[in-house]
Amino acid sequence: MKEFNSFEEKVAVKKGEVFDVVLESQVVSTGYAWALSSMPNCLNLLEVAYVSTSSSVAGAKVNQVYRFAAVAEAEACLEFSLCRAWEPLNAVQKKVYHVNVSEQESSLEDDLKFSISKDKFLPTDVVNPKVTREQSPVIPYGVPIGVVEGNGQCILKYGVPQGLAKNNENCQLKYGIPASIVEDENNCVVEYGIPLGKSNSDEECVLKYGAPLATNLLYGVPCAKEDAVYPLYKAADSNDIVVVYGVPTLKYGIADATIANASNTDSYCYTPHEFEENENNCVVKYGVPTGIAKDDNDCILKYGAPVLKDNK
Amino acid sequence: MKYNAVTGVWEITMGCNMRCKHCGSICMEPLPDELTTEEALNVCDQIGELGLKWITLSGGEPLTRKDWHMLAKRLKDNNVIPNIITNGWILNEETLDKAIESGVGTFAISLDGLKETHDFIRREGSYDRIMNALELMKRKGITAGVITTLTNRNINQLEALYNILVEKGVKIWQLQIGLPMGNLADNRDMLLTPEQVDDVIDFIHSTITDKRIDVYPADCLGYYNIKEVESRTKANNAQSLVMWKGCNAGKRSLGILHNGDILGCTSIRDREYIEGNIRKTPLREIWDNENNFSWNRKLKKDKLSGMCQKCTYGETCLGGCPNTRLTMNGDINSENMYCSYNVAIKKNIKKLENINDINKLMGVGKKFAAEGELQLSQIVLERVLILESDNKEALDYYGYVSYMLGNYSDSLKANQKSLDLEPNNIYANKGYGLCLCKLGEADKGIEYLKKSASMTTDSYMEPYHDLILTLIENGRKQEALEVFKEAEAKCPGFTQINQRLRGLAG
Repeated sequence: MKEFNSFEEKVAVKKGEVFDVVLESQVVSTGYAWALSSMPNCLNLLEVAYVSTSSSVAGAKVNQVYRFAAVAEAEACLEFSLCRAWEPLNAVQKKVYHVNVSEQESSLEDDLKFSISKDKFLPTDVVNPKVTREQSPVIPYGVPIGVVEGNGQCILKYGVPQGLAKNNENCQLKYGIPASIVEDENNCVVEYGIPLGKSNSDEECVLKYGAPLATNLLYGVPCAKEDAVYPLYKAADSNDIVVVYGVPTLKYGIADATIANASNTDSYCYTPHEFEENENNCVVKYGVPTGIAKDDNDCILKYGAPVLKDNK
Repeated sequence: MKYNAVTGVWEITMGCNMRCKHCGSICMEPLPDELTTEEALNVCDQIGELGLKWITLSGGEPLTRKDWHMLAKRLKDNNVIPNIITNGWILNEETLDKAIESGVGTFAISLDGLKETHDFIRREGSYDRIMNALELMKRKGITAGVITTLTNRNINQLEALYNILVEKGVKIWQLQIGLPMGNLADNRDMLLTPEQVDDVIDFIHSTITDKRIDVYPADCLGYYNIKEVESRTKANNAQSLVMWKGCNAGKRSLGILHNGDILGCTSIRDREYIEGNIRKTPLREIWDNENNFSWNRKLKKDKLSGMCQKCTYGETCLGGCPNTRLTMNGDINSENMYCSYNVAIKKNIKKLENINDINKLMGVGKKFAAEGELQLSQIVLERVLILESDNKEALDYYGYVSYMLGNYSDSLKANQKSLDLEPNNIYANKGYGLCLCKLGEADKGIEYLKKSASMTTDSYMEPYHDLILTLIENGRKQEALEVFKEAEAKCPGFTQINQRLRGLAG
């Protein structure tokens, strides 16, 4: 640590450096001690100590050690006054140091890093996401982590999809979670993000992956519409179970509610867990349904979170 | 690979009522080979059939073409939204009403500075006409956009222009760099310096909290500067980051000239970039021809030069705007100097030019490599190799970082040099082999990998790992299994450690 005594006049330190000013006095014998009379803002006073000198003679000198930290770049003055504690206005001597606090010299490494630091430019792996495998290009479901365009189709490889191709025929998920809907006369096509709108058209709202709020929901988490139908009745026949909006009512599964009926106490509001496959009926296979086809001939739940796999 | 065209720019006429000092197309009078109305309407149908969603009608001054509104309507009938870029000289109420009837989406007016500057560049009186037009559009509720071409004449007027545009109700403001093409090629003293790209980006970024107007950096401004990316994201009203993904010319966008010539971008209009003419060949056929637009469709990072060839973003960026490269350097595959990242790296390279302490440089270069700061390591090690071209350690590290940056040619050269100095350098043989594989010479590369593996010891089994993986990737699984045995014999436990690799081998 740097030390500055009374013979020096300049204090040159780097920002962040701690140093001592050591001043001799005969405070014990004379009562005169060095008081800190003016301290600039670029310094913080950390400690004051009295250190005896080597002499054991009565009235020997004492070193007063003032410890400072340089906290800001500046040029300023540091002043001490020699006075008695009971006569503070009567300073018999002053000692002024010219203080120069300069910035730390940066290393070459820091210097080079500064101009292209991470708060200035995007990380490379954000710009060039790596696709670790390139087989099986078309992955319709899952959690993909990268997207490759090609062959006229939105080929989602790996990663979280972030958008939807505006393709009437082949609603293919391109980039991520759909966030907005393009109003289109013929098709309600979701593009880039969570859909918030719906098609005014009776035509098919083509949304494949996402959380649509629109009519004609094919796959996804259906949300209720004002005229949503929640069938609670027993179907007359196996083809008559059609859920348009809202929580799908399925034929088979574990009952959530039981409808009392004179002829039949079967339960029809179900959370399906596993089912037999039957192509003409509302079929859920292994899982919690997250969407249902509108068409009663094709009421096949396709995308869900598989729970059980055993056929019973 | 099939490409879907989504957007484009159509210069419907070369006629213009101005003679702007920076005109990229040197427009004056309509040219005799301009498409007739009938031909142009047919083009509209073809644009619709190709599946474009938007097209910008430009020129010259598109409003000087008498049938512009017919073309706009026909495009709209084909489900293509027509936007118009205009100099605003004849943008009056009647024109605006016609535009609304025709289904025009956005009117973008070119405004290049405050009154004195704009009128100097364009035409006396044009600034006032634009202000009137903006007021009119504001009254009629039409989305007004403004495009400003930046030169050193107007770069200091951005703040003042911003305030005016907000007051006039302008919703969209695109800033683009004036490039030395057309009339501006004779006025290079007006060009911005590359360092001024950051000033423009800083300005745009300062506006991102303002919901009244979206300020866009054009495609020629970038790249991967966080402020620039944030600005793009805000301007696009996007939930996730919007960043430059490479030029869309010939991939998602196209250009159509006044005479039906089809190109990837109307700015890149030399004869060699014209892919066909719609009078002879249907648009779809031109677009779908896999040999067309190859200057961009087949562009890879290693075709570029200078810093763009070595850039860590190169794989995605592919040199930024190709027109910038072409007009600034005369070569479409040259370096893009109007790039914020390029400017920053060049500053670092300049600093290194004053440092000759090889030990210090090696220390820093190696540390950067270890920390994953590959670009910095690359430029530091390049400095070492300039001072001492035979520095073996530097060659090894340079080969490594170049490979990791995707700069396989550079890596190959470094490894080649290492092998010239020391033919049995195990690391260099491995590196050289890997580079050859990346550059399409797998068989030759595998031979070098085999050589490396044969020379290595059980304390460094990486050559075996890389050889096996390369064999698997090249469909030579049986050979890979043989190499596994060899590796196991040399280093018992190798298979255990590399179980995933063993699984890939089958």
